[in-house]
Amino acid sequence: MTPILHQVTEIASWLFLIYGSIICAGYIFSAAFSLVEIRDYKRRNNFEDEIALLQSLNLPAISILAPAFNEGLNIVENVRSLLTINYPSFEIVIINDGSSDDSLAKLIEEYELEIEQVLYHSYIPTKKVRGIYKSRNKAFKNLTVVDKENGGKADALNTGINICKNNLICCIDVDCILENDAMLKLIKPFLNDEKKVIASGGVIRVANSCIIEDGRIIEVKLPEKFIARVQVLEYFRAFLMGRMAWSRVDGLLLISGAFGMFDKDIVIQAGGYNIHTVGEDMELLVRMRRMMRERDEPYSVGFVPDPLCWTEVPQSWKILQRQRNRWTRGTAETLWIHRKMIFNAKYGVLGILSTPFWFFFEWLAPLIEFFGILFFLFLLLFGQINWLIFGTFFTAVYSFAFLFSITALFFEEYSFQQYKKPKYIWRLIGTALLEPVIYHPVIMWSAVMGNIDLIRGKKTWGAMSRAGLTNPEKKKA
Amino acid sequence: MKDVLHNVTAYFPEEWAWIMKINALFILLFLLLTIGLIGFIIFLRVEKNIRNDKKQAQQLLLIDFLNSFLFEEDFDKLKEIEDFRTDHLKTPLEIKVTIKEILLFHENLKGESAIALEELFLQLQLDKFVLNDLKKGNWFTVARAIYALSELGIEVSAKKIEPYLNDPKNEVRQQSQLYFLKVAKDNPLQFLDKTERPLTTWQQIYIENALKNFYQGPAPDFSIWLDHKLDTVVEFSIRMIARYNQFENIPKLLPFLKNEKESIRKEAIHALCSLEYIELLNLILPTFKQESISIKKEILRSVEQLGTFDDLKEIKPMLAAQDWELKIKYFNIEKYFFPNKKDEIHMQYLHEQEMGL
Amino acid sequence: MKKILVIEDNPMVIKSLEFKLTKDGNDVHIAHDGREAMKFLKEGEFDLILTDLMLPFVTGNELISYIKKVYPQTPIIVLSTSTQETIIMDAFNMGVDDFITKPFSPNELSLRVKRLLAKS
Repeated sequence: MTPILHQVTEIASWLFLIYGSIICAGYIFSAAFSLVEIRDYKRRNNFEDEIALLQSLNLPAISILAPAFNEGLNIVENVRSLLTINYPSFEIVIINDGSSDDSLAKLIEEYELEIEQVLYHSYIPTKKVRGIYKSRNKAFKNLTVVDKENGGKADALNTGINICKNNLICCIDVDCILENDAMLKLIKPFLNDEKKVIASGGVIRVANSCIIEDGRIIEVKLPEKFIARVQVLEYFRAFLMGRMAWSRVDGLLLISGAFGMFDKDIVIQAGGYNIHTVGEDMELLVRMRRMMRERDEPYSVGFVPDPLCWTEVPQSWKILQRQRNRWTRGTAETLWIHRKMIFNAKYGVLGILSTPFWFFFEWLAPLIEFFGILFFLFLLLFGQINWLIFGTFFTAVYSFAFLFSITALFFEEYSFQQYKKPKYIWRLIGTALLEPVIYHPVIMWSAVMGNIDLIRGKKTWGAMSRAGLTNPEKKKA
Repeated sequence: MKDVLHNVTAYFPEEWAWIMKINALFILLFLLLTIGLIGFIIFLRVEKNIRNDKKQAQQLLLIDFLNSFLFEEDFDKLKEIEDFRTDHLKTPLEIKVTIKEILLFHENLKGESAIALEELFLQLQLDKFVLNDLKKGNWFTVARAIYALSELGIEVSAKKIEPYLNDPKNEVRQQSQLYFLKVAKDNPLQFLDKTERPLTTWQQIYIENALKNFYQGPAPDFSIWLDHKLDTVVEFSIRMIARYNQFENIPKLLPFLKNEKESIRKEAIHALCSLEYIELLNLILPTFKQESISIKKEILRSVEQLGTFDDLKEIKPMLAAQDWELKIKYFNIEKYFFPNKKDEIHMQYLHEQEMGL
Repeated sequence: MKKILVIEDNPMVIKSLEFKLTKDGNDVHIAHDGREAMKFLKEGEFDLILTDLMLPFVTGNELISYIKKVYPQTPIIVLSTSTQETIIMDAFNMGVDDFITKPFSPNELSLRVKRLLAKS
């Protein structure tokens, strides 16, 4: 080995080690915080489990907003299951975002809809509304269907926000499956906090391969396909080790777009969903928190650690890549819009911890990894690889990744234990063993491509058009 | 620790670079942790499965036992209860499940059946365990114990529960509030005198529910708490005066229309409107313009309930051009007053919207 | 023997209702959710229907409106945790015969059922 190359290897080793240690430290911290949060959750749950949730009284009314784009296949059933939500007072607003299929016609026929003149104001500018429909049948009196021109998911949600009646809104994907008491649990932070609560979110779970009948989970099953099973592990890590910990330190940046509740006035004051980013769910919460902080108003964001919502995750590599590409762009765009917050102590935990974390670990990590691989290839090309060093490095990283997944699995076992059959544990352990070599490279590559697309697309920032909405890549049930 | 490290590294080949030794150490550490965790996961799983089986068996047993106990006339109560107590209340789990099931039954039933369950609870001597839990000191065990006591109307010395009224944990506070309310024969809200932390909306909802559905005695005079030092208690009392139609308290509510706190003013308007106090509009319409948006909305609501189109018209000039929320409310009330003119009113709104009036 | 359909998702309430109403000499059928109830209703007529409002799959309100359309004569009793005036009024407006709130007294419920069965 030439002295120069030797030095380069030495320096690269050090950099790698430092970065790796920081990541490990971050993970260990988040695991510790999660453990405390989960222990608290278990205690609370242990107790609350025995106390009937109050159904009937003066709980505030909620508006449930569900955008729909070309969901004709399942829209009637999806709406029916939304109508059976266990909550005393709610309206459902389905926003038909210019579907080109027969979604609207199906809804009109099944639910006996007719145009009604509803007064509303466009607090947030949106695409044109073609009509607002309500049912003639009293049994469906809390259903409203808004027909509008296509404008994307953010625009559809904004339209719903303009039109809906109640001050608490719950934004959901029309095809996600809600637990029975989801609304009661999600609203509790709003009513049981001495501070003003601006938003609350819950845990999302993977519905693939579960037995679902008419919008209800009948039996929880582990996905059959490897690709979906890995995402189960990913969701464990994201929710049980990520958001639990962030909520503990009040640094939550993301309430999943598939299911979250918000204070409508605050959303409107913040300007509603941003139609110029693909990460509209993350961007909205960051903007709302930033606004409250800048106004110096005390507030909090609720996080309900219960699995309240089940959703189908992509089952094909192509669609998964597209989704991750979009997530990367969403993260990058949000961080760019709010770059002022990164490392800014004025924004408290958000400025010092959350945004830097997202910057370094969510956005930068795949890029660094990618360059690491390039460096490896470069060394390989010149035949300068010390295979023994490489081998130990690789094994160290691999065993850490595996340990991390197992920790998440342990948290799941300790807390919710949704997958009841013992054989599921073995399959999940097997999945965790394979993930770093089979699944992870694809995810990393999608993130790199997302950044490339972002740079390319930047020239035409204003004209970023998106036809699809509510995860067009989702598998149709 | 150092020795252990030294001993382990001694096994690595001499010629390994420092980085490799560190890596190897980490690999070992991660591996050990992983194996430990997997072991722990399997232990948890097995334990939980066994526990669940036992739990289910006990539940099945109880459903039969409780239904026979409640509805079968030729059920030899004394003997069966004694048998159940000696045979099926041996482990902490069995006791826990039994308490829970009886509470579940009790929650859904009232009248004779509910009283029968309360007696059964004592006959099975389950109160002993609940009182034991109360002493344990973990907030969740305490909260659960207080819940069981209040749900089944088992009274203990007030001194035991009182300190929990101002517990740092929200849930404990709530359960002790409900305890005092549910066991009270009269004056169910006496605990408010000892309450020092604000009532959350959630707690207020539960208190109201318990007042209406559990408490059997005469309705309290809510005006007693109108001068409570906590704003949330005052708001709650104002609301209850309306919900319980205590018309005699109307004069006492009037000063609150001028209260400096917005939430209290709003509650007062709302209450007086529900009580259909005819003078209300004369008192609140003149100050409409100076009020905040949320009070303005409340005033509009009162006009809808108590007023006429003339009252509504009075508000029109006071609506700012940008107050879309209020304007929508205004036009909706107009629609409500003139159901036949809905289309015209709608057009009028659209027109104003277009002109930016 | 009168045929009664009980539509309810709380297993504890089901058990008690089934026990009590069977003891009163009725032929009790249980539907655990709205969809199962629809199946029962399509198969035949009942002398009385006892239903919850918040049910999985199909709401109580939708069931009531269906029953009123197909079997306008069948008496309906709602058994619900709702004590809200508007919900109770909505139910009566849709044509239900009685509204019982949970927690309920099984003896009282049994009397109300008998009274409605005697009337029809």
